[in-house]
Amino acid sequence: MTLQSERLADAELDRQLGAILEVAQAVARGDLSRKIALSGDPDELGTGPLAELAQTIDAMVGQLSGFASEVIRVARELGTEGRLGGQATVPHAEGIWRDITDSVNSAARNLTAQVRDIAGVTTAVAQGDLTQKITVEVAGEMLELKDTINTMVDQLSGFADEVTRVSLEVGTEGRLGGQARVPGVAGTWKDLTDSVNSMADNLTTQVRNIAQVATAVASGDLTQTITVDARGEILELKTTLNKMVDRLGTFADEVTRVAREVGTEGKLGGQATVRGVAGTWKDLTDNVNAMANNLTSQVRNIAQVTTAVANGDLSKRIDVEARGEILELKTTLNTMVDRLSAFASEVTRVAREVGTEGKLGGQATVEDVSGTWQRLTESVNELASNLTTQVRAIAEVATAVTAGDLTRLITVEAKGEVADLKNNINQMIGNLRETTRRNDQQDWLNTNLARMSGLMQGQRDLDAVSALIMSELTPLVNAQYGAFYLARKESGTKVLNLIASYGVDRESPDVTSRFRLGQGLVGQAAVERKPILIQHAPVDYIRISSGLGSAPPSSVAVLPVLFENEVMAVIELASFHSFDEVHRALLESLMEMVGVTVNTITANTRTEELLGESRRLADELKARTDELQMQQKELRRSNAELEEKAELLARQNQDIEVKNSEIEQARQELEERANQLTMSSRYKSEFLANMSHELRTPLNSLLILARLMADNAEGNLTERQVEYAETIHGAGSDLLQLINDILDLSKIEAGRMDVQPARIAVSQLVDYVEATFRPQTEQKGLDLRVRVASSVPAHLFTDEQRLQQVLRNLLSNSVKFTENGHVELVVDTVGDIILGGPEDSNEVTLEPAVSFAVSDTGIGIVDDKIQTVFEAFQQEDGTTSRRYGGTGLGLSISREIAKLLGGGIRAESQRGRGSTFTLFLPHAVGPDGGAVFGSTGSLGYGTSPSPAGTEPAPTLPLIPEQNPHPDLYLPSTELYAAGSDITFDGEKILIVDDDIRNVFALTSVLEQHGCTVLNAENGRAGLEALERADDVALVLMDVMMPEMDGYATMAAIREIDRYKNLPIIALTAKAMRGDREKSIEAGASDYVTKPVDTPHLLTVMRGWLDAETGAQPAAGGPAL
Amino acid sequence: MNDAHRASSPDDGDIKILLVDDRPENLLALESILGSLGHELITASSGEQALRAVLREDFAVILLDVRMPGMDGFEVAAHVRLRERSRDTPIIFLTAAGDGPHQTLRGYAAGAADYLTKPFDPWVLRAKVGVFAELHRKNRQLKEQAEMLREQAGVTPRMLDELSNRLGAIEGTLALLIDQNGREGPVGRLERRVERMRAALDAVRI
Repeated sequence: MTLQSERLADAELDRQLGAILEVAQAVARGDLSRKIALSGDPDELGTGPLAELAQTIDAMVGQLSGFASEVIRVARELGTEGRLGGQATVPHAEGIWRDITDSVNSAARNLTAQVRDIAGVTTAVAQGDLTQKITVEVAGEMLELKDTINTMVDQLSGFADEVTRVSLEVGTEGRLGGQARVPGVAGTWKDLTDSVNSMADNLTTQVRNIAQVATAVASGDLTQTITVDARGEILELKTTLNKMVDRLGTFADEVTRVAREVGTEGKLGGQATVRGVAGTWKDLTDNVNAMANNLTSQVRNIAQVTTAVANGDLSKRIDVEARGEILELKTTLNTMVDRLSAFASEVTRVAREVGTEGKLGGQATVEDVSGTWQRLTESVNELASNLTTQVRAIAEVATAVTAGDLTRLITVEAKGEVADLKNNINQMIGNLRETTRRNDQQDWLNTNLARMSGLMQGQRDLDAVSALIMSELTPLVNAQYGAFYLARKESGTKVLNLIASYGVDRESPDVTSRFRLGQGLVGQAAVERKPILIQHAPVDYIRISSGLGSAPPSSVAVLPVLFENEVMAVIELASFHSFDEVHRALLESLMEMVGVTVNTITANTRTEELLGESRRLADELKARTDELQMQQKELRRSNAELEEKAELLARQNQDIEVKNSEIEQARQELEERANQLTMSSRYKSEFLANMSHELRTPLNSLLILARLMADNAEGNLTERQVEYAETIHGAGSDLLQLINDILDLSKIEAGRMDVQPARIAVSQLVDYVEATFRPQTEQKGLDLRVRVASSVPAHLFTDEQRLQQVLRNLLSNSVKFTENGHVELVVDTVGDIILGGPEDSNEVTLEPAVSFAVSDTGIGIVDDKIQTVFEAFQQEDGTTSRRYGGTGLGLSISREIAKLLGGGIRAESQRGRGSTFTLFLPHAVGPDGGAVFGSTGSLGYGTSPSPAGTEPAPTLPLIPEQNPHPDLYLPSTELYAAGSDITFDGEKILIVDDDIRNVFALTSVLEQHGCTVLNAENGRAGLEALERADDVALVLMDVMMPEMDGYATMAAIREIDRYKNLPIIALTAKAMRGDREKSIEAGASDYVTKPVDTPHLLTVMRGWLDAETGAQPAAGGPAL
Repeated sequence: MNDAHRASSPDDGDIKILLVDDRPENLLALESILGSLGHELITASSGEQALRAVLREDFAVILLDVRMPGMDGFEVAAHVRLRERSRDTPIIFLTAAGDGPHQTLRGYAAGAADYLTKPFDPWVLRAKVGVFAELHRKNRQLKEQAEMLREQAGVTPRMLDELSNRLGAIEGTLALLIDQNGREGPVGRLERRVERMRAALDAVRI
């Protein structure tokens, strides 16, 4: 081979090897699908060993593949699909492949057999046949499996047996408590066993519990309940059973209750209420209730009736439905009630008749009773019968008694209370009899007394009365013989005369018709004033005889008739019988009556005599009375006249009163007005007084300063400035003048301008005029002339100031209104002068007068304007312009002043020629020869003219000795009193006080006693003063100061070393307790209370100063 | 605070004049009037201030406005006159005219030496004040002379007091004698002599 072909062969070899390798590798990898022959064609491979190899490998692979797929198939069938019995058929398998195939088939066959066997057994077991066992021959694990399965089948069998047993026992045979015992089980079997056992157990427990409860219920114990745990249906059963037991219990309780209540306790009406029962139970309950109900109603009814019966109502009957024995009971009871009712009604009837209606004799008839009822009936009848008899007997007697027959007595048989009744009634009858008798007697007595009294009334004649008495009395007391002796005073002694009798022969000598006192029984009775009774008179004492016979009396009574213990008469009575009690009583009373009567008659007689007398007097009286009446009529007439007059007077008075009150009212009004006026004028004056000061004060300084400036003392002002000052001064002066004028005028108007007349020298006046006006006139180039007439006295008595004021006014007017010429004042006297014309309200006559005539050659005044210039603010041209200066008030004021001075001003003028104003003042000669002005104006105080030869009267009023002004303030002189001998030697005292009055006073006092005094007005100043002066010996500290008060100051002082022991005396207020203590606390050495008692203060000060210096206190003043 | 002022520097000895008025313009006016007198002028605007001033110094004259708020002039005068040291200080009241006569009365009762109504003539005021100042000066002179006299005579105040007391006793006895016997003859002469003695003694005791 050539290289190339070698190479080609190699390459082919490589390829073929490669392919072979590839397939081998594939096979090794498990991929049996590859063939070396790519197309599978063996021819493709060629020849040669490799080709054989390749063919072999391919065939192997084919076989392997076939084998693999068979084995896989079988394995799959067997292992996966579960199709047993499969065998692998691998044809052409040899050797190991055959072995493998066989093995596999064998395995498959074995497996199949085993599994089938196992499957057979398990199927049997599954079908319930536990007898089968795996018999197949197995080894290894299959053997284990076989054993296991067999064991399992065994166990299962055993288990099944046990479970069967248990369930048989428990479930079928009813033998509870069985448990399955299966040894050697585990896992699920064990669990199963346990479950079965548990189930059996549970069942056992539950059933047993249920059985227990059911048994208990059966035994009657309804208290048990199923308590076992249960679930599901068992739980339902449990619940049901418990509920049932409950209901049963309730039912039983209820029924028991009802039965007990109704049956035992007797509480009827109970019903059993059992809820939630049905069927038999319900029926039972209903039955029980029905029974209870029936019982209840029956018993109730019976009870009702029996209660009614017990309460006495026999009308009720038992009507309830009943049967059997109850019915018998019902009938019996009803019958009984009937009988009772009958019986009761009968007995009631009898009792009512006999007891209530009083129909005696009733008897009760009750049929068909026996035994007790019978006996009862008989008793009732007997009772009624007895009662009847007794009552009738009593009634009989009572009736008799009522009818008046008191002789009857109750005789009927009776016992006990009735017997007592009978005896009492009999007794009562006896008493009644007795009482009646007595009453009769009393009646008789009273009746006869009354009758006798009636008879005796109105009798006037003693003889008639006594006769009447005897005729009535004697038979009344069953006497047959009587005599009436009347007592009479005959010549001083009392004698008893027979004036009336009954059956007495007055002629008979045995009959004595006159007894003296004490004579015989009659006289004796009169003396003793007591009746004398003879019960058994001797036989021949008296003979009472009638026409047919006579006999001696048995009893004799001699009775004195007394009136107020005086014997009026004596009555003697004799009777055949004795006088019994009643007669004696009658006689006793009668004697009284007779006494009264006799007395009355006697008195009456006397009275009649007196009556006659009085009638006569009455007649006389009547006559006089008539006279009086006539006079009275007269009086009445004149009274009426007077009354009229009085009325008239009263009316007049009333009128007057009305007028008076009107006047009063008017007066009051006037007073009010006057008061108002006074008040307003007072206000005005006060206002003016205040204003006066307020107005003048600023002016004052203004004028002074202006004057000073005008004076230009230092010469540093210009002429102009001086002129200004002068102008200011002038204006101020004018203003001042105006104010003065206004005030003067208002003062005059208010009547408050005083004039104080005094003795003035005329020459002085002239000097004043000259001094005042010469400069002015000279300045104006006028001539001033002053002339005093010789007739004018040297002195005048008037108010100089005011006079000057007037003259000043007149003169200054003249000067003002005169440009050239002269101004002249002439003082003269005139004779009479009458000032004031008809228009002037103040017409004054002066005789004589002094005149001051001021004339000038000025511009004059027009005639008709002369009056107006006196009016305020008017000037001559009728205007109020100030052309000529002045205030325009001067003349008004002057006129008023002139009036005040007692005179007036007269003006004369000619326009262009001049004017003359004349002031007239009155003037008279006084006791001292000096002029006296009687002033019609108001005077000041004490205007006594001074005696001649002494000094001129002061121009001011004398100062009164006593201070008339209580409002003049003077500080208390006590404060300034030096009431002490204590002296000091110039010690320096510091007073700290804010009240200057206190300070001043204390300073004065202390200075008087020799101290040197410093003062400070507050605490601070005090401290400063202490520091400035180093020799202060003592401090007086006022406690009440504003700002730094006394306490603080004292404390501050004490803080200074130097003054630690400085005596400080605090001045404290008296009232406050705390002040003193506070002062001492704050540092005061001592205190003195305000108001300060000077001697005390000085003593205290002296004491402290001495203590400071250690000196002995001074005994008194300095010794000489 | 409320202190009086010295209005002009002292010139003529130490004569001091106190001016009291509540209105400053009035004080100004007074100062201007009196300034030329050359004395020391002290002003006070209220009664209280005035009293404080009086406590501090001795014045030759006090000019006192009557109407002041608080303590009026009369009260001030009353206090001043009750204090021994200031008792004799002359007081001139200044009042507005129209206050009426009872004011005058009050003034004198309160111890005024003089009474001026506003508006017053400043020259008159000046003259009066001057007179009182002069009076004061003369009094002081007298005192000093008396002091000198006493010193020269070697007479102590105590001796004078004793003399005065003894003379006082004589005066008392004399009064009794006069009560009994009147003033005729020797008794009257004795009285006059005793009076003269008293005057002489007082002069030395000033």
